[in-house]
Amino acid sequence: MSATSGATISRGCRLEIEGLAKNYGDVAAISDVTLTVPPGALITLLGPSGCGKTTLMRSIAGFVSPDRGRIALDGRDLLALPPERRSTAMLFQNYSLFPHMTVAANVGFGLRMHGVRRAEAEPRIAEALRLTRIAELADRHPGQLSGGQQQRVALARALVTRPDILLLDEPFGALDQSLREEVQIELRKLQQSLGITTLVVTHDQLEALTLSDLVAVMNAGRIEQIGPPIEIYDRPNTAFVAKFMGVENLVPVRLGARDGDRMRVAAGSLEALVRLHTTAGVVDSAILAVRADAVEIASPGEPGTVAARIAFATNRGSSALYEVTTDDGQNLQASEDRRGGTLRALGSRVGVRLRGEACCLVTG
Amino acid sequence: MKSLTSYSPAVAALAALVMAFILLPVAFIALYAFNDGGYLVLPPKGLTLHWFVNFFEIARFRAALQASLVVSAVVAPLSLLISVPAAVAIVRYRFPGRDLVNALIMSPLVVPGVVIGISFLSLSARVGTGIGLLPIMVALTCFAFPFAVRALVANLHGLDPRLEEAARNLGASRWKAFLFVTLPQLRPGLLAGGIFVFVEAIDNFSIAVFLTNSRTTTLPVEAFSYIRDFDDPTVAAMAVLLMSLSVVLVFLIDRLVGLDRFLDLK
Amino acid sequence: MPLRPYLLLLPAIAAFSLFAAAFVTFMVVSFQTATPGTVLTHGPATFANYSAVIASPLARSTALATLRLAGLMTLLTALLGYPLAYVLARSTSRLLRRLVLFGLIVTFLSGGVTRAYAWLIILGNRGLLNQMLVALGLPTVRLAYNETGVVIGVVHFLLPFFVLTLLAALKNIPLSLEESARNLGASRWRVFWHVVLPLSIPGLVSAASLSFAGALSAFLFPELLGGGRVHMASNVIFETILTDFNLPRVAAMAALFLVLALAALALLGSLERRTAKLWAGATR
Repeated sequence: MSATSGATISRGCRLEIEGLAKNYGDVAAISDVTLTVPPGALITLLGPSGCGKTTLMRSIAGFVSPDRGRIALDGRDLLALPPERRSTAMLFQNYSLFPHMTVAANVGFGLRMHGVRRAEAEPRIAEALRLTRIAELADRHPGQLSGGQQQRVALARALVTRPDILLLDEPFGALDQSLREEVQIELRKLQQSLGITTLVVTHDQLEALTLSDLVAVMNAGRIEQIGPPIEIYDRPNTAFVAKFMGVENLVPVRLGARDGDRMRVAAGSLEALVRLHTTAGVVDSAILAVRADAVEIASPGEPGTVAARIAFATNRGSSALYEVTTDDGQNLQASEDRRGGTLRALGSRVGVRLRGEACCLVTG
Repeated sequence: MKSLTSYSPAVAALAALVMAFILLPVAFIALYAFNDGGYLVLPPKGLTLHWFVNFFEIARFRAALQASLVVSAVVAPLSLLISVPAAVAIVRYRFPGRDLVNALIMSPLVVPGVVIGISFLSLSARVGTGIGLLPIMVALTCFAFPFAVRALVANLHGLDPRLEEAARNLGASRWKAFLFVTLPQLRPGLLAGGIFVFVEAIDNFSIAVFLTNSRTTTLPVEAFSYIRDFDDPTVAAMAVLLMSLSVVLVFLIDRLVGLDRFLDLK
Repeated sequence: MPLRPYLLLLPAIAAFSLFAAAFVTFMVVSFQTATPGTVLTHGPATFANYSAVIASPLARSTALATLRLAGLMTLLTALLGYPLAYVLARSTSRLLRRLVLFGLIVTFLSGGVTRAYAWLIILGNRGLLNQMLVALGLPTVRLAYNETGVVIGVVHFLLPFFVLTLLAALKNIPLSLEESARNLGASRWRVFWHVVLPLSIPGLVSAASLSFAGALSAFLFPELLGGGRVHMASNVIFETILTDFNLPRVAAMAALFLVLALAALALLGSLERRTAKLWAGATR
């Protein structure tokens, strides 16, 4: 999917969503969602099932009518339009290929619906098939294709109409783990070269990190945090985001003295000096998000460490994951590079300390 | 290795006997229809097409055959026209009164045929249309269209509604999405429903017998009165013709949708 | 937007309204009096038709006979149909399955007249069966023109419906359940008794109710094979209208028959709903 020609390049559109809300009975599927996606960017809506991410995407496509709010593409209001006039191309989770049509007919469907003449449609279909590298499958039926091939057909079908925005609903959920990573990178390259504004819905944090310009973590119908993937990974604002981004330890801490943009915090005998990214909400209660690799295991009795012992050990390839229990009863997960060695023995005495610069204060 | 089939040979033998019980009458009637002579003796003495010729030579049978074909040719498509939108409404929409509407539409299926026959006889006496093909068509359509609704509802339930959304997303209006995406996939349901209604309309006796008279009859009613008056295999010839029709229909079903899929839509 | 489903249902509602209109007319007629020598009826409203029907011993014996025969037919259909449906659901031979399905569907689509007539030529007094008995030097049997003939005919008519309905339910019972039962040491018979049969109860009940509904409204078979000796509700109603064109009287009979049939089916329906929930979600 590297080479591109002018035919399929889409102008990127700015997506703006303001104060969007949708209730089903008493349940708020999305409440007061506001976000802006710059032209050509890829944003991922990340969250557990039921967080409202799919409702948000379906509102953009026109399959859900929000109760309040505004959705606009380059300033044009979308909500008044029926789905077929929105120029949003959606890639459905199960691809939703038309089983009674060939691959070429599937890809050409949108052009046919838009009244594009055959003579013009055929080269565009061929171009879309070439871009997604499935030209040789044109005459097959969807039932004869593998999951990966079906996904390419769905993508070609979505792109061929030159949509203003591409909507991808759990696009890699049905693929094998081995195929997934390869296709993710391929899709990201294609999206960048086409410059098409894209919105992806997923519950897979790794996928969000791999693909995105922006990640919006959603929880219970709201956007919990939005920002570039590295920021979301390194500096989660809330315990929910931290947990969802795979932070192993969420430790309630007492706040100590502030030192410029740093603050001393303590949990029992454990102490750390952490950088303050936000002052909001860290006044009363605070939680320290500590990734397992920010828990350093040292020899017992080493200065600056807290006495602990290994309660559980498991192998994770090049590293080892331990559960350590400090002498004052705190459980922490810690990972450590094995450096070719074996695992530490269960029950062995160690000292642990937190690497403050890799930890992050979050609200509960 | 001893096979781990679920059933024992005794059960298989019992099933085979039941199957023989189901198929034997059909086989005998075919033998009887081609048999030379009024009574069937085994082994048959000779084969003849005489009874088939006889069937077509009897004017009343010809008229009844024509009437039945006209009735079925009207009732089957009419039932599908009624049933397709109804099935779409039942499967694709949630609306107040949906369960009630669903139950009412299906209610003709639980009313005994004789009661339906008497009802439409009362109605046509009251309205003044009298007896004839029109009341038969009306009565059979009202009675049989729920079969088509059932087949189409089952078919629609098996379709992914997201395919319609995908079509809308690609620029198809609601109507075009139905026409180009949903309708082609309803082929099995249309075929199954159409065949059920067609066969029901050709074969119906209990309703039609109340709405026919000496001038207008349908095939089953005519066959019934012939059996009462004559004792020869002409009706066996008719039965063979109807059975051939059902064999053709089953081949058609198998080719177009497959037997297993057809049964899911029953 | 909320109007659309009702618009889609309009043709079906129109057809149903005609059906309902026929029913209302028929109910009205059942409270009227026949105008002698015509097909017309007139008021004033009277219960005379109903009281006459209820008072008649024929009506009562017919109601009992109809329920008894329909029950017997359903029972026999279930006993004969279950093994066939089970073998069909579990057979590993694709060819066998296809052949049996083919035969069942052809029989099913061949219609009632064909099959009633077939039984008449087989079971008749000078029918095939008695000819064979004579050829073997055995005494002949009377199988047609009595209840036996009607029961054989109707059971044959119901079997394809029953088998095809039960088959769908049996196919939904995962084979792995049977395999794990055998793996735990159960014999084939005990697997059937403790696993398959209980799990098939919802399907069995719904297939049996379908058969019972068909048996209750049996008309052509008792008419052709009963020789005037077997009185099931549909026949009695038909013969009454043939001999004495008293539409109000017949309408009252039909109305009472409908009440009987609907009551029986409602009972089966509630059983069906109760059993349908038995293993809901457990076998998927």
